[in-house]
Amino acid sequence: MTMFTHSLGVIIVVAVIFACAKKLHICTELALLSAAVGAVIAHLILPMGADARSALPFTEIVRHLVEGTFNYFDVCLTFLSATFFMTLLKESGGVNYLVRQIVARFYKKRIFCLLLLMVVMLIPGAVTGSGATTVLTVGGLVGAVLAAMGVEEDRRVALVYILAAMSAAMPPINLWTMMAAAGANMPYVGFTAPLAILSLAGALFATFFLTRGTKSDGEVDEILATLPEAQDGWSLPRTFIPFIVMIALILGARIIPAYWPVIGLPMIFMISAAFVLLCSPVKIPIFQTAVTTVRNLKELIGIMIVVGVLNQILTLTGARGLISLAVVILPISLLFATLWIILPVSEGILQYAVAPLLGVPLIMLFNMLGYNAVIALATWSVMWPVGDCLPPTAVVGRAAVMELDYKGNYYKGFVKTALIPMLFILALCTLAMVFNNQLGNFLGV
Amino acid sequence: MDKKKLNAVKAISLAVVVFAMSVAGCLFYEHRNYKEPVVVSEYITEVKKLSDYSDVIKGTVNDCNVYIFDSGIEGGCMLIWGGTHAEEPAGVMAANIFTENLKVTQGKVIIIDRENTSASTNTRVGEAYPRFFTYETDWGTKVWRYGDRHANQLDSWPDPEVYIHYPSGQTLANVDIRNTNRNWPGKADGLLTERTNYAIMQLIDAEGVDMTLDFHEAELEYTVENTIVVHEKGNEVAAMTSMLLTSQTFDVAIGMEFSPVALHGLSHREIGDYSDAASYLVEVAEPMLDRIRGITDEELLMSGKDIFVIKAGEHGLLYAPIDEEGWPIEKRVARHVATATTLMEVNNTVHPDQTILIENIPTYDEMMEEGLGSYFHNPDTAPAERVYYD
Amino acid sequence: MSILVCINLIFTICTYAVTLFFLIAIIRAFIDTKNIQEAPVYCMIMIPFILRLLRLK
Repeated sequence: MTMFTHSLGVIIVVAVIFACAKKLHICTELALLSAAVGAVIAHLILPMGADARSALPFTEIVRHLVEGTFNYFDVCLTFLSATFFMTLLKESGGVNYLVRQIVARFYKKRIFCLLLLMVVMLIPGAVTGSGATTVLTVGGLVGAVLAAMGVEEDRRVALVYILAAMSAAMPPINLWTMMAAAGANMPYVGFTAPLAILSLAGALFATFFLTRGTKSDGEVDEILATLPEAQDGWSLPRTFIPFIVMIALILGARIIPAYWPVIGLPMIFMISAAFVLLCSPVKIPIFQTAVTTVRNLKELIGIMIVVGVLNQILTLTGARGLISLAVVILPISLLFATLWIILPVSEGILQYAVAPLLGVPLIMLFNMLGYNAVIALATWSVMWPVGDCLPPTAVVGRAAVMELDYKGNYYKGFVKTALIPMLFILALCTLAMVFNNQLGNFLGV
Repeated sequence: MDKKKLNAVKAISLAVVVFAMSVAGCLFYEHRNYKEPVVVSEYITEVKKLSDYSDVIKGTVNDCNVYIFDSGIEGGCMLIWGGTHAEEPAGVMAANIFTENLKVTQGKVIIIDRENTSASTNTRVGEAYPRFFTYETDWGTKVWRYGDRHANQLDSWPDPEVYIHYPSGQTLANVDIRNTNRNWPGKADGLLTERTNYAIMQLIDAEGVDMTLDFHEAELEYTVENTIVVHEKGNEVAAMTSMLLTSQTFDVAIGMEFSPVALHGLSHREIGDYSDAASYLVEVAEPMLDRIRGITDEELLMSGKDIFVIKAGEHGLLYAPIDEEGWPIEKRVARHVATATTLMEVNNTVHPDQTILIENIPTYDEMMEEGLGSYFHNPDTAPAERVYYD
Repeated sequence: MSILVCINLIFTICTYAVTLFFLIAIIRAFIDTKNIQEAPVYCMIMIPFILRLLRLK
């Protein structure tokens, strides 16, 4: 048995255990954890090939399993603090107030209103690089306005999801590009234009495609009557202050980086949350809100933690290397024809870890073949977040469903509705990848 | 009954997790607190701390040892360091070979074994690295910490949402703020890694360093491979070194590349720009760093043998050759040591006023034939005053 | 210690405090849960929070 068959065996064991666990109605998090443990056992049992190998004591196996939980720890902390911030705003009635204000002022200016919502959705992900943060901070708010505008439930969730995915792809912060570029020792330079063009095109298409056929022909007062009342005491300055604080803390680091402390996203959201408490006209139970936040996020965070463990074990056993190798040795024409499937699917499996896993070898490959690696990486970095509604992780999809309290069928309702915009984005990115040199020359990168 | 069952599941889950955390916690603690003994050469003149040059690093884990070999005879001064990236062991081992054996007869040589000690106290998450790597010697096993490309988050946390390099303003991935080869020339009031590089810049100025050499390793998929990357101040010396080593010493050629002017934060760019020294960085192939590698363990790290990487080579995807013999650690360390000594020799001819003459460092052929074991000394039998810990 | 280094240190300490705050919330959710599959998931989630607070990883 060679190392190829060994690692392939491990992948098969992972797939079989995951499938069996799901069949037994075990939740995705525990199914993935079982698959990771199964992979270690398979690794110990299956012959490892001709080359000598180091011993793997039990204590080191435990260490690897525990170490894997840290893969996305910072991301989890960001999710928790961002959601806590928005949950506080929601509990205090601030979100209801904002929804009512937007509807009252912009309901009749439909196109402007849609573009405004799109921009509101794109900003949080653009500055944090996280689609889930977008959904968890402004997704519920935008979803509520879309509902008031008569956009049906499936389309609302689909639109919030696509805009969140595109917000993560938007510059200045695209984590996939940054991680892959860092792995390939490329400077994070020249990506702004291609990322902005592709993600904006995707966001605009999704916004107008998913709201087609709906009209703002109701009376504003009637629509307002259907919306939940806001707490007395809210005003526009009060609702905006926490957001202004958040934006100021993020922008400060960009405007005067040499004099600005490193605050970190979790603290930025917690400081903003503190301003919600200061501005809120009502008293909010802080700890209870934190517990609610944890309960709402348990699946999202649970998945991130367990995928980190699985990633560590797949690396340990050579399975990750085999997957990566299998992709880069595909004939280039086949690669062009299949990356639009491979990238979103791999994102669904591994989340951000996919950027160094596939991105780095692909950059090296494209460099070697004389393609424009900046354009190519930008196209992949817009394709990856499209897969954030796919199993097993489906992080942004789950967040959208949760935030909008979606009652429909996840695949037959939400994913099916989002499919055409997703395919549009993937097709656009594939085209940009095929014409990468021409696009690179045009954009001067 | 159901409540009993629920409580039982909770208790078992908690017990399993506490057990796992205890086991892993002990291993993490051991890794973070292991000290690497170094038996310094009998010809050493002084061992300083980095904080002797700038107190911005005082009291931190990155306040590393600075090993000084001063002949007392006028000549040049070279600073060499390993451990910028703690996942690249050849750099630390090559630096150790100098620290444990060097004799300088003209000029001055300064060695830092661990440029970013913090990075070596923590393995890189998701990469399934071993915690330590070892080498068999005549007196027993010498052990080093294996680590991350970035400083330990226990020493530098949180990361910013984006890292903006000082002073260029170039945007980089947020984790790169903990990568010491992305924040040269450093910042006196920055995070740990920025302060570390700031202190080394003070050292360079204070000691009048003429040339610096930063040891690295790279994945075979990476374009900058088996090469010397050089600031324009050192072009001539690097070109001649590359030619000499390729024609006379190495079986696999060593190239020479110009440090890109627009790529900021790297030692070969910023040290040259912000000091009087000519800055060099040398790379050697390390299959362990390839994302397409197979089973990840210490054996792969040290032997450099991996059939997945060979397969990628068959498809023309690599920038360095590889076969069943792999890239053993002896070869990687020997290349680094030979590159350092040849750079000095060539620099002596190009800049006679910066002459550095050294002895007692093994040649490439000696290391390849005899292995590295005899160049590392036993800390248990060495005089206590010659044993230091990195 | 410069002012900026000092402020950075304060934010580091605050980030640990945030970690502790959410760990306590996770423990509360773990105690309260009635779902048999959620209990081990909460336990898994606790791991990085505890080890970071103990400054072990």
